[in-house]
Amino acid sequence: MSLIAEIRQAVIDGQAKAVVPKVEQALAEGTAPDVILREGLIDAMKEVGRMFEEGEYFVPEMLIAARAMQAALKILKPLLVAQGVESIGKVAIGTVKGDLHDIGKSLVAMMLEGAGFEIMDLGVDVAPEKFVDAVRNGARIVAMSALLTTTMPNMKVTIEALKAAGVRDQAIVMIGGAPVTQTYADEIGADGYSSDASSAVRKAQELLGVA
Amino acid sequence: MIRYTALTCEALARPVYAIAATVEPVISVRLYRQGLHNTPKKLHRTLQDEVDAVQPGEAKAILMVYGLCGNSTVGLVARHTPLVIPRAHDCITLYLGSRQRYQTEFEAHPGTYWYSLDFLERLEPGSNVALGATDLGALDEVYEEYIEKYGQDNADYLMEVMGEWGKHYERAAYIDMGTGDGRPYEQVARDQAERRNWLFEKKQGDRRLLEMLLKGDWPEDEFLIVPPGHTIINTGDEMLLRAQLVEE
Repeated sequence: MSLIAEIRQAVIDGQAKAVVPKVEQALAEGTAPDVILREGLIDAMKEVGRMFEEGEYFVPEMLIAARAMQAALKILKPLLVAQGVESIGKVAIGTVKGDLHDIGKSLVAMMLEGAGFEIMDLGVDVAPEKFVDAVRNGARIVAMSALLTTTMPNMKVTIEALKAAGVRDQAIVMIGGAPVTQTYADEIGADGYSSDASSAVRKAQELLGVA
Repeated sequence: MIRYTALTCEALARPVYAIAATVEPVISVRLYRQGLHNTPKKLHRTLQDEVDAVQPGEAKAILMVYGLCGNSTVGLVARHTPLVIPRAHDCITLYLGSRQRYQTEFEAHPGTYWYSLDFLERLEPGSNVALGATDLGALDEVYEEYIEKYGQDNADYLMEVMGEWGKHYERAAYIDMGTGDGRPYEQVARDQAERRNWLFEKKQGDRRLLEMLLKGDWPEDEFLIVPPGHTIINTGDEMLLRAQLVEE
């Protein structure tokens, strides 16, 4: 197995500790950082997404795979920046105001990062103004999560805030979370909805036209 | 004589019986297992089957002693008899007497675990003691499994990530509805608070909203009346619900 294939497999298996020395070795052997990113990490996360959709992987497996991917990305990032490799788009992601649940949101963030997006993770309990600021700071996608019907209305409030600030048309709005549906997305004027982390990646790519 | 059929979550059994015994309309109380909100589709099916089972003329209205409950009530269809449902997210609103009060509580402490006598006394073994929440204790049990499956390092990471939201919880609130001896259950809530290092608060429940529902006092800003042939929609705004004609 080539070193790149080993990196890819270690990410799929969620072996963060194993993946780091392999990435260092690949770099030492002269492999370009963007090649490791594309063929090692992004391709691995694509496979992880596929396995999740097939029902072979569940949330824990996705989480540890994403963790391994992030460990590798940490090494590559400064090199990618130096090399002038650009991300396919900046995503501002957060759980809406009043909602403290972050597993789903973090998983979507990691899957998007694994697909080559740049992530601005705003955390949980995110006020609408913070999403507005993020768009002003170049976010092309606003991704909102809510686990409760109690907090779900804040998705609508955030979209209204984006409109009021005059930045709604500068960003694509995606929403998700247990009580959220496509009907609700349509009702509040979000651009996209997805039911899980893996399809969120496809949706983001589709909406940005980079699929 | 006015007759209503009240489809009631067990978590509200005592106050609903207490009120039903004193109001003018004759209320047929039907209880359903609590905790069904964890499987919203199942709860939805149960409720629709029960709505469908009510015969024409049997009741003037079918009262839903539920809220959105994880969207379980969304999409319920009124057949020949209107449905009446409080504009509530869940039973906490029904315990506290108004959604404004719940909203105030929620804004002050979003990370609250709620406890009540009815809920705790009907708890099935192995389920979570707080209303409508995921059990943090369950995480301890999967830890061993994670170590075996993913190794120590990853198991520690998973515990950290999956327990993270629990760290945002900061308050245990016991709601006293004034029916039955709640002391042992209040103690359960106190013990949980102590164990997790949360603030403990005892809240006086308010039967107001339940009384209005069972009496037939349904102002539009607090209740949705779903006419025959209409279904319940989640509006995702402060009114929570609206009725929509079912397209044939």
